[in-house]
Amino acid sequence: MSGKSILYVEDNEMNRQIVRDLLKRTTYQLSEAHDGEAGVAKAIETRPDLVLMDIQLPKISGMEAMRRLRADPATAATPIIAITSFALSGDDLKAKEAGATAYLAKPYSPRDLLGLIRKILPEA
Amino acid sequence: MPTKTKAQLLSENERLRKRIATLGRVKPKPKRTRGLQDAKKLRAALSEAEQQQAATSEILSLISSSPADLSPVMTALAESAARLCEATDAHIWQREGDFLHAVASHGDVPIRRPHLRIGRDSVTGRAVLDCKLVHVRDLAAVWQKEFPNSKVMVDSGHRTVLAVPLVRKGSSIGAILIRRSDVRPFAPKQLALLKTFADQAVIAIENVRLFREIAEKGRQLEEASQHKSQFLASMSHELRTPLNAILGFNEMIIDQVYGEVPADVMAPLENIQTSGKHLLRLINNVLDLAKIEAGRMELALADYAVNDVVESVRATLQPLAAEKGLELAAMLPDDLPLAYGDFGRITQCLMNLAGNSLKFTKSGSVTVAVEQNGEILTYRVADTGIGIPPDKIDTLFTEFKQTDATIASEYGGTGLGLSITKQFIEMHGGRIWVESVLGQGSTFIFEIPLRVNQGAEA
Repeated sequence: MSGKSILYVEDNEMNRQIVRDLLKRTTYQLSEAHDGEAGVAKAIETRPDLVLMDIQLPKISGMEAMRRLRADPATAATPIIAITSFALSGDDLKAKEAGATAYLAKPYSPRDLLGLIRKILPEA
Repeated sequence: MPTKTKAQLLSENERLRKRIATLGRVKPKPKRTRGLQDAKKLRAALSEAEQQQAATSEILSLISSSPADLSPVMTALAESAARLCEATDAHIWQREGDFLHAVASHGDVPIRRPHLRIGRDSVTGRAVLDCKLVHVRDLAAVWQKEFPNSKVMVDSGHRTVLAVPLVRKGSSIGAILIRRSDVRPFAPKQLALLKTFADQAVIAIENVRLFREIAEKGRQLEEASQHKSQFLASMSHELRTPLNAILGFNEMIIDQVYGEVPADVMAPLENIQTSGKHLLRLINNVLDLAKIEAGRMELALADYAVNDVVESVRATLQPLAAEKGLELAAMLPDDLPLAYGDFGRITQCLMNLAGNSLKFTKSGSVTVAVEQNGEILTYRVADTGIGIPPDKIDTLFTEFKQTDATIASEYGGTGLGLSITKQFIEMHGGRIWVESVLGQGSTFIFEIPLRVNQGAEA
């Protein structure tokens, strides 16, 4: 039986590796996209149970990507965790406006991220 | 008695008057006719002096009111020179290398050549080259021999001409030329007046040059500072990305995501985490300061609960306080209204202050208290720590100024926290200060508007 699906949209390979490792021992099924446009396409196509959206992304920003996901019936109700940058004060507010369910400021601790994922999307 | 002429009568009359005056020791009255002439002359001289004074003071005030633009001053100088020296026209030239350029004119006859190669073969050129006044009684008579390059002036009917160089530090930077269409040399007074105008022109040119130089220097400094801040901002971002990965992986090792960790490896892993977080704080502080300096720091204003600020700080610092055996207390009224400001930045400020207090306190307590007085919120962080020497208080809020280097090495810290805190509080329209007794403790106090941007902020 496969677990719930999570799509992680992030351009930095190290960050993707962290989340890969973090979720390895869980039942979550992880898929990835490397930029905002690909992230939106993949989310609409695969309809994951949760999206982790980095804000600083190539092509279109995480903010714009979230707005597009919210505008599409396929993903309008999908929970999204926005990963904002500590440096940009106010990103948390903007993320919520753009449609984020919750946000986590970079640098986040993997421990906190897993806690937040489990809160929004319980494993079992 | 022979009839006397009027003149004889008058002179007789005068003799009599003198005799009477001598006899009666009465001062002779000046002759009525002479008195009138004197008064006329005096009036003329007075009004001439007044006009000159009015002209020079007008020019001085133009110099001071127009520090960046030469043309109002030069135009006024040309007009005054022509009028007060009774010349047909006046022209002011400025030197650029081997050429003179006409910068201002007054009169009916325009300058035919606005650019003139400097040489001894023209009236103006000679004045500039020799740094000496050139006064030509009749140009028509001497131009062929003396000033072949001034033929244009003869052609336009100018006869008496006067050129005065604009001299700065012994060399000419231009000239004033005044001309008459008749042969009538200028009076010594007019020569002196034109020299005064030349001096004023030099002051005006110098003024504008210095003003532009300073403005340019300021612009360059501003640009350099922007580049520096930009560099710091992007550098901090680049530094943080790999550091985030280091901290993330290390935390997962500690959390045994990759399997069991031997007990004796746990302590060094924790040290990596502690040092890494310290490095991250340093980088974040540098980034904050760089953004503030570059003017790119913006507050994210929203409603927030003061209790959330205090609670977030208390929850974060409680473990540290417990570890040091200190009491960390929070005191705030439960009826505080919602505040409006940047929740994250205010929390950061309070965190900096309370964190500092814990750092510099070995025993006792750190108390965070908030009060509302009308539209003002007052935050206090009081400790029973080492205190701050009075002579160090002034520089406390400047970058990289902990009270001394040994304190920095014992207590750590970036030396940026207080400076950033002050900046954020001021961005909220507030202020921060400290009250401290050496050896007994310090209280950091900051006041911010309960609701930023509503009336107070520009």
